[in-house]
Amino acid sequence: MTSYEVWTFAHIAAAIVWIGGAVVAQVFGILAKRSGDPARSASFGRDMAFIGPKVFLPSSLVVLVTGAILTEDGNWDWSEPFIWLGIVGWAIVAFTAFAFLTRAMGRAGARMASEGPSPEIAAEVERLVLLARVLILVLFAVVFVMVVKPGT
Amino acid sequence: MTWYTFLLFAHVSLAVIWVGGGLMMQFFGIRAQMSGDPSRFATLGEDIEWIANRVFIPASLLAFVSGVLLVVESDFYGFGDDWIVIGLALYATTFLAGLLFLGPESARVGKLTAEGSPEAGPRTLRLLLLSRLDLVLLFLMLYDMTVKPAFADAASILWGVAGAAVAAGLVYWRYRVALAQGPAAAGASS
Repeated sequence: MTSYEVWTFAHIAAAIVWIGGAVVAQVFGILAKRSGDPARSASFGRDMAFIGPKVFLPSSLVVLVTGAILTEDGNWDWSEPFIWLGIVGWAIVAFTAFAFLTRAMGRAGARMASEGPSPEIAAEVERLVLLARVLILVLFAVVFVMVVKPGT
Repeated sequence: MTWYTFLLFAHVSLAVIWVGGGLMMQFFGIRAQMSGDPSRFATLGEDIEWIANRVFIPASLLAFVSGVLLVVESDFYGFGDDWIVIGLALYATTFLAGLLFLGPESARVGKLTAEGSPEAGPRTLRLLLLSRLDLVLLFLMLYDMTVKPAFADAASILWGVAGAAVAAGLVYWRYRVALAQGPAAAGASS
């Protein structure tokens, strides 16, 4: 077993936690919304505000760090398209999700719990969920680029 | 892009959804238990059954099919390769466990919790234990797919087994602690 294989395992495992977790979190969100129960939607928002910084943020950082180590350990050139596209994709998703989305989701969940459901909060949650889905698509695009490695 | 890279992308994406989703369910389970609200846990049980049937089982089946097609398409891998034999054995174990026990049991536990049955607590703890052990197997499978060990490569196999044994031991230890505290305290200790 080489160090490159160990780092690859860590890199993929962290990506799995981050991306797979985000996909299934979306499904939980859909089920909560479908139930028509505002309490469920509120608790979903609070859960995401909890899980975002404690699960998604650390795993995304592990993805970035192990990716950098793999680039050095594997003697990849930093100018390879799959590497800089991966970094750009990571930056877009990480900054949007952790600097904005997670907090906004927590605020919406708290408002729904305290004020009760309203068309305004529902519309806000709808927008946040849409944004989260776009970010997941970006993450899968990054996975595609990592697997296909265009230009190599 | 070749047919092989397309299959590889599909295989990786499906594994991401399957394994990462399985882990995420654990976090939602912990959150539901931490809330101390039995109705939330009942709802979660129903959600998990829904997701297992519509997301995890299809994703795991398609990951298997795309994996088989990858081996068929590849010029350098074969079904006799040690790491593929290990992967298939692990896949069969975890797929059957999910299909025959974990999915249906989570629905049964959800119903017991909603009914306020005293059996619900211990059954919940047991379900959590088994689903976490299943997750350990999934990550062991990921290790196998990444490192691709041969049976002769004892060090790689031992590292993988040791890592899985430590993770399984921690899961079992948490289960014993939760059991000793009583099912009602399970949420706080999970």
